[in-house]
Formats: sequence, C-alpha cells, structure tokens
Amino acid sequence: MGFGIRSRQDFLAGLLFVFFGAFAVYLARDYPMGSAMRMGPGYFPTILGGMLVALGGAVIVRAFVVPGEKLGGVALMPLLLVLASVALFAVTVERFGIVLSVVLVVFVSSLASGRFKWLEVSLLAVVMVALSVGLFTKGLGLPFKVFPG
Amino acid sequence: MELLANLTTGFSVALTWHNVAFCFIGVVLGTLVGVLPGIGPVATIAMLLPITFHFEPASALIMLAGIYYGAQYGGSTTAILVNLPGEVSSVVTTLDGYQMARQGRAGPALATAALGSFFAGCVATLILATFAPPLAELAFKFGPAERFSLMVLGLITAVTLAHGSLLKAVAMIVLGIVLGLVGADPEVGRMRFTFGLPQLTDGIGVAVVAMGIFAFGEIIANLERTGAREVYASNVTGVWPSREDFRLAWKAVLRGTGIGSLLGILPGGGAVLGAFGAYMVEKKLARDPSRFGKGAIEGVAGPESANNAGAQTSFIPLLTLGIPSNAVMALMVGAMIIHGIQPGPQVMSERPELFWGMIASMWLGNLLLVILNLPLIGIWVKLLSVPYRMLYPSIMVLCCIGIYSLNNSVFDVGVAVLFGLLGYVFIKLKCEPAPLLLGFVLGPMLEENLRKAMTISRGDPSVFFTRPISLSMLVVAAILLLIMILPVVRRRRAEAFQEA
Repeated sequence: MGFGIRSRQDFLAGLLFVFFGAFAVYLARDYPMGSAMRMGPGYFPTILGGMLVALGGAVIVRAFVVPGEKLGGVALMPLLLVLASVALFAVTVERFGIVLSVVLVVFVSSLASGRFKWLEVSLLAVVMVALSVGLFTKGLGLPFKVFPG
Repeated sequence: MELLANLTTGFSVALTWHNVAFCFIGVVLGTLVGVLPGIGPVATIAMLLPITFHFEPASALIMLAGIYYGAQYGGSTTAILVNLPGEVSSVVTTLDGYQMARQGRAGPALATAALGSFFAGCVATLILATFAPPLAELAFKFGPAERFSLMVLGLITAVTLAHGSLLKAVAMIVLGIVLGLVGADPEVGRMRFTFGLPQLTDGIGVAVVAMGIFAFGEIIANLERTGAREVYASNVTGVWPSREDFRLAWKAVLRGTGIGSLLGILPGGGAVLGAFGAYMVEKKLARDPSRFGKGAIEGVAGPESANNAGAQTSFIPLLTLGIPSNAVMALMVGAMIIHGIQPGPQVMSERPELFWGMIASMWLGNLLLVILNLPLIGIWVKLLSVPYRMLYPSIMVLCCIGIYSLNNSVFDVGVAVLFGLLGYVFIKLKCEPAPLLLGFVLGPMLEENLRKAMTISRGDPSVFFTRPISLSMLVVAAILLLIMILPVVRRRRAEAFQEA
C-alpha cells in the first residue's frame, strides 16, 4: 500500500475549498474586525474563511486515506459552448436586440450536443424567438429591444 | 372555528379566477419539470422569479409553490416509467415503481403515486393551516440567539441530506455563506468581496446563483453523460389499482403522509428526507421485506405520499419563522423579497390574504394535479420522448432572459456564466450544490443574528447555551452531527444513497 492520492476528486475539492477560504481571509484582512460585542465587517468573514480552510484541509487529508471514484475526463466542448452561448447573449442583447441574441444562444449551445441538425435547430430557434418576442417582450412587457438599431 | 374563518379567507383569494389560472400554470409547469429529467424545480423557479415581479404577490407565490409540489407528482412518472428519477425526491420510487412497470403494472403504480400524493397533500394542507398560527406566535418570542441556533440546526439537517461526503457538504454550506456575504455590510455599509464593482453592492442575486449552478452547470454535466433511456410507456393500460393493491397501499399512504409531514417541518427537511424515511419504514414494517425492490406497491405508496406531504409542510418554517429549509424555499425567500415582503411570523398577521390564499391554493393545486396526472398521463409520457438536444437550448434561452430581466443587467448574465463553470466543477468533484444555495440565502441572516445576539450579551458567546430554546436546538444539531459520524449510521446512509 503506497502513499499517494487515493481520491483525486476529494483532493481537488479540498484544494478548491482551501483556495476560497484563504482568498476570503485575505480579502477580509482590510475590513475592520471589531470585537465580539461589536462585530465589525471583517469578523464573520474571517471566521468563515478560516473554517473553510480547515474543512478543505480535512478533505485533502481524507483524499490520501479514503479511495474515491475515477475523476473522468472534462467535456471541454460542451463546457465552452454552453458558457460561450450565455456570454454571447450578455454581449449582444443590449446592442443588437433579443432576436439575434436568442438565435445565437440556440445555435451555439446546440453545437454542444454533438448531434447538430440544421433544420431541427433552426425550427427550435424560430420557436424560441417567437416565445421571447411574443410572450416575454410583448406579453409580459420585459424591456427588451427586439431588433438591432 | 378560527381555522374555518381563515380557510374561508384563503379560498376567497385562491378561487378568484386569475389565481386559479396561476395555480394551474404552476402545477402544469411543476409536472412538466418533474417529468423531464435534467431540469428541476430549483432551476425552474429561479427562471420564473423575475417574471413574477409583474404579478400580484399572492398570484406569484401561488404559482411558484405549485411548481414545487407539482414536481413531486411529475417526478414519480419518470421514476416509474423510465427508472430515472425526475426529481431527487422520487429516487426511492424507482426501486419498486420501475419494477412494477416492468411487470406490466405501470398503471396501478402511477395511480397509487398520484392518489397517495393527493391524500398526503390534503392532510399536509390541513397541518399547515393548523400549526402555522401557533408556531408563528412562538416565533415572535424568538430573539437573535434563538434564530441563529435555529438556522444552524437547519443547515446541519441539510447536510444529512446531501449525497456523499459530510465533510464536503459542510464545506459547501460555509462556502455558500461566504458568497452570501458579498456586497455592502448591512450595519456599517463597508463593501465586502466586491472587487470594487458597484454592481455587487447589493450582493449576488439568489436566482443568478441558482440558474448558474442548477441550470448551466447541470446542462454541461448532462451533455457529458449519454445513456439510453428505456421507456415502459406502452404498458400503461388499466390505470386503476386492484382491491389487493388498495389493501396493501392504504396503510403505507397513511404512514408516508405522517412521516413526510413531520420531516418536512424540520428545518433542513423537505420532500427528499420524507421519501427516504418512508421507504425505510415500509421496508422495516413489511411482513416480507424481500418483496421490496421487486415491485412492492408499498414502496411506491409510502415515499410518494411522503414527498408530497414534505414538500408542502416545508413551507411551515418559511412562513412562520422566515427561515428557508431547503434550496426551493431559499428561492421563495427571494420571490417574497422581490415583492417587498419580509418572510417571517408577521406575514400571517399583516398579509392574511397572501398567507391563507397560498395555503388554500395548495389544496386546489393537488386536486388539479390528480386530474392532470391520471387521465392525462399519456401526454406526459409523450413528453419523455422529446430529445434532450432540443430541451437544453430552450432552457438556456429562458434562463438568459430570466437572469437579464432580474435587474436589466448584462453583468448578472456574466456572473451566471461564472457560476455555471463553478457548478460544473462541483458536479465533477462530487460536491452537492444544494447546501451551498441554502447557505447562500441564510448567510446574511446568520451574520445579522449572530451580531445582534453578541451585542445584547455584551460579547459573551454563552448566550447561545443559556437560553433554553437556543440550547435545545444546538443540542439537537450536535446530536445529529454525532449520529452521522457514527460508523454504523455512516454505512447505512451510504447504502441508502447507494440503492438510490
């Protein structure tokens, strides 16, 4: 039985917690601590950050003791395409209007499924555009610009 | 007969035709997302939250509540027919429900689930109406120390529900609390964790976090898995259960309703805990436990009654104490705040039409759900054949529109992208995100009450242990944690989730 990481999931999760905890403590160092009776803005975040570091540390230790499942690969294309489509919506909606941004979301996110069919996706885009303009913009009065310009 | 007078008030609100319409929309949407795996009530309610701003508060809450308990009905359909729980709370239903479907008894299984849920829903509505007023009275006596301890208890209970590692679940809660503190400090206005961005002054919206993690993160993770679904839909013939089925099921329905109602009230509880509890009890009490897992009707009746009862009674801590007990209730807090309502015991006295209207609508909603789920089951089954590649882009469009229209803010959409990434990382690392959302909403309340309690006690932390109500809640929380650490329970808990 060798000494090594037996659960990569736990190891990475622990690192993530330690990172967030340490970051919180680091940012909170500028906030006034106050006293137990008059807690300042820094008191609670510092305690929580410390707790998070401790918990993360414990998760890391456990990663060396308790074996875990295989981590599995990262689905890079779905990850990038799904997030990119949302980001595209953010960039385009105010400048070019809801029609274009909805079309972009549908087409870009559909690429992630690995079974992209032009006709199917186009139909879906038409339905979603009709819904966004008809129901959300006209019907519910959400303040969207419809077309560019 | 105060109860009767209150319910009359409630029905006079719930039965106005537009509130009936909102209730109907809510339960239809709930059934829909319950049936469809890959989208749950958390993401749906988050998606619709911004839109409800344009409704009257009572109508908005009636619709959102309908989504939650409606999803409990829909979730069982998928569990029984596809062996895929539409919702976490239907996980145990797959064990015996799917086996019944394979034996050609999908109809009776679906009917038992729907009728059991209806019975449980009616009872839970009455429980809610009976116990909410005295609990709200009690809640007025709570000081900051009691509220703080109660929230701690709620968070600890939520941990027991998380899949997998306890340690990671606790860490997720703490991380959620930290994220909840982003924005201006409530007492002195000092900016915290805002990186100098003025858009973060009011903190991050709960709906933004929920959609990022539970919609975008989930979608990415779902696209990674590709599994074949086998639908036993063609076998849905002869919906009505036999006399023998009724004989076996009715006691399980009663027990499930009781267990679900009780566990739903607990802070940290909700639909999921009740379903697991009821299944274990049924298996323990059965004369022949080996029937379970092979299509025992009690294994469908108990948990399905329990999850619906629990979904409804979990409104009790929210409406009486102002403390959400699970991720869905956390979003309901968001919904109430959008309408300028501070959740808490004062809601009942200040907005009786809202409070009783919502409760009365639950009974109505359950009635609608039975109609939707029994005669119309075929429509829902058809929906299962909609391929995921058509479904998720639609969810994404609705989410984008929802997030943007919360504050007409492109910035919020960007934040949701980050939470989508984070959500995917959590799923990959087997960190369950539901406790994070609960911590996120409770974070500011926890801090506020901690600060107040410590100021009143002049900096003496013993205040949490000397006040009897506060002490007893902390003791219960400690006992819960200890029990969870015991090796025997740990193994059993692992088994319970394993079976799931």
